[in-house]
Amino acid sequence: MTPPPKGADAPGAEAPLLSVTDLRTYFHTNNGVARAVDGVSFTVAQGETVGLVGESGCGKSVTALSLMRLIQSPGRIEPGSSVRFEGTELLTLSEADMRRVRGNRMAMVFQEPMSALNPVFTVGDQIAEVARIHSRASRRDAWRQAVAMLELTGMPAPEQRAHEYPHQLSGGMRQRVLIAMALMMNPALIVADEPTTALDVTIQAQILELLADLQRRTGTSILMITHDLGVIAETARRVIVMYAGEVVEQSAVGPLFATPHHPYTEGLLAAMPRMGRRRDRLRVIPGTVPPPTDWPTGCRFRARCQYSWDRCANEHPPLYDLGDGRRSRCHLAVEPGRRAHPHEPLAAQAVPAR
Amino acid sequence: MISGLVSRVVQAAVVAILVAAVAFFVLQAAPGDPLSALVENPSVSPALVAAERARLGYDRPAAVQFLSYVSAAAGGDLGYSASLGMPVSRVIGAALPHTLLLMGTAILVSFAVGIALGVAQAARAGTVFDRAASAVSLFLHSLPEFWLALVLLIVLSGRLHLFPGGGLETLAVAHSSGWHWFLDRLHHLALPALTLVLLTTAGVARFQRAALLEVLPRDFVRTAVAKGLSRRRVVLRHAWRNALLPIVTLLGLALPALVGGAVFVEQVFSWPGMGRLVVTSIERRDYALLTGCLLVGGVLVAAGSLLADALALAVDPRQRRANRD
Repeated sequence: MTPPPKGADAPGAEAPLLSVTDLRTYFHTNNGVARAVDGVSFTVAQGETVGLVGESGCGKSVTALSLMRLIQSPGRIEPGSSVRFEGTELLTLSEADMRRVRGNRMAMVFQEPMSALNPVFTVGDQIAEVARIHSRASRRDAWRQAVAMLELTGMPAPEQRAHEYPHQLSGGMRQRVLIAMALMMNPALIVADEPTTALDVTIQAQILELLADLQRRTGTSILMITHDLGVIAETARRVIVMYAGEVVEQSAVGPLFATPHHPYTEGLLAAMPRMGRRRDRLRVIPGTVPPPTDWPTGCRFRARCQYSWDRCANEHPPLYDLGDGRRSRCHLAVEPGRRAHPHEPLAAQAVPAR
Repeated sequence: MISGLVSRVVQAAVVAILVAAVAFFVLQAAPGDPLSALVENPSVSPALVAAERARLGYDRPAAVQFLSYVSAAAGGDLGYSASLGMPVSRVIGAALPHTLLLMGTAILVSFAVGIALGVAQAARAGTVFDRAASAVSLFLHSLPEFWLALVLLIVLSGRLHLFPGGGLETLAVAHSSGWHWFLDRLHHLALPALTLVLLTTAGVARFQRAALLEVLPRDFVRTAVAKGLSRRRVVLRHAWRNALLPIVTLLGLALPALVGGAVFVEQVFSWPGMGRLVVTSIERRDYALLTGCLLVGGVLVAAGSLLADALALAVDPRQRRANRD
């Protein structure tokens, strides 16, 4: 396998806030080793919002959990992986030192606002706990900060809401609670794992707007993990597309939407409903992500790709540098002429027509 | 929340009355009555027995007898114990505190130890410690209480002379000064309480372990870790509070089991409590006393589950809302 490129496209001399290099998170199960994250490298600069996209099972959530070292057995971050954050290597930190990073310098907003909150404590209590742990604030001070945070997230009647339990709040309000909890210590990086997926559309827009607004005010960086390219278009400046445990394309948002390079990105964009474009039905990418215990050799997207040729079966594509900070893990980078000859993907041929 | 508690108090009262009814009518259905033994006695004429029956009201229909029993019981009059020659309420009044002391000690210790053990096991699930503790608690859990009581009595009291063989206190010490008296009481309490504690702790530990293991993989536990909390705080504060509800339910169930278990244990250790009273009253066909014991037992069980319900409300905020609606 070709070694992945080190670092990324930080133009200045300043080191990026977060720099992930060759991250491998494997799950050692009875059915074999699931290589959920398999050599992922990327960076996030100070104050930047980076989108991490891919469909379910591509490894984006495991990547997020790996950054916070929240991987549970049988999962393991393999030796040789590196996560540098604020100049410190996180993967070799002691558990006690890592606790000082979690919720303090790097915070996470989880996907399911219902199950991510503890049902037996008031939300104010759960937010205040962050300050009580990290800044040893008194009970009263921590509570005051928690209420102020809730207010910052646009929670109506924050003082009363702080005294309520999660089941008494709506989904949108619970997500605000999780965001308030993440922002409590003014972290340098917020990892938001599908923060709007469980919410209905109008609330989604509000939450995204809230995150963007809070970022402008606090200057925090955000790693926005989602399967929804619409969310990326609204929030991120740069996108990382993941497929089958690998980064397959990296680009600034504009060029990616205008001229996607990797066929997988192309498929994701074609599968996305867009205003002003009449089409009878959305295109779907045929087939599914292969099981992580058994990645195909060569290009992992080959079976679902409409351009694949024999080179894709034999040679695992490296992350080709396309210039202007763009990278793509597709042999089309060196044989662009192939794009003119699309064919039915193997996965579509295998399935009998309905 | 308040109305929810009130309705449960009413439920508990209904349960107590039902227990009284069952106790009363089952005993009515049994052949004979407290005067039956006299029929065999040649020096007592049948006419005298009949007259005495009429005087005591045993010739009235069962339903009428029950109503008069319930109305008297409501006023604290549980009838007269023929075998002991004093009012049932006085007999029970003397025995009940001893049983409550034994049960209270057993519940307090077994739940404290059982919860601690279960949490420690769940936090180290799969380790040698966990497996060994599981094996031991399964073994204890499957022992019959009278057997365990006898073994403890024979070994710890009979062979090793570490504890007194039974009774409530040493007669010589019974009227001495406070501290001495307290230690003597404690010494006598140890073995019967230990028997009940060993049996109950095992169940509590198994329950607590399972409940915590079920909570630990939940999302909010991961959120707690992501906040930067120590594992200790994550397990003991965030996870354990959620794994407490099954234990509260178990507490409600443990009370009746302990009342039943106390019958054997009190018998083995000559502990002058309700359990022994039940056995005595059956041996002597003292119906009034037996009915009274069953009624008090029923009230204890109902009160226990009421207590468990109240605790559940305190432990789980979601139940509070369910009651408000």
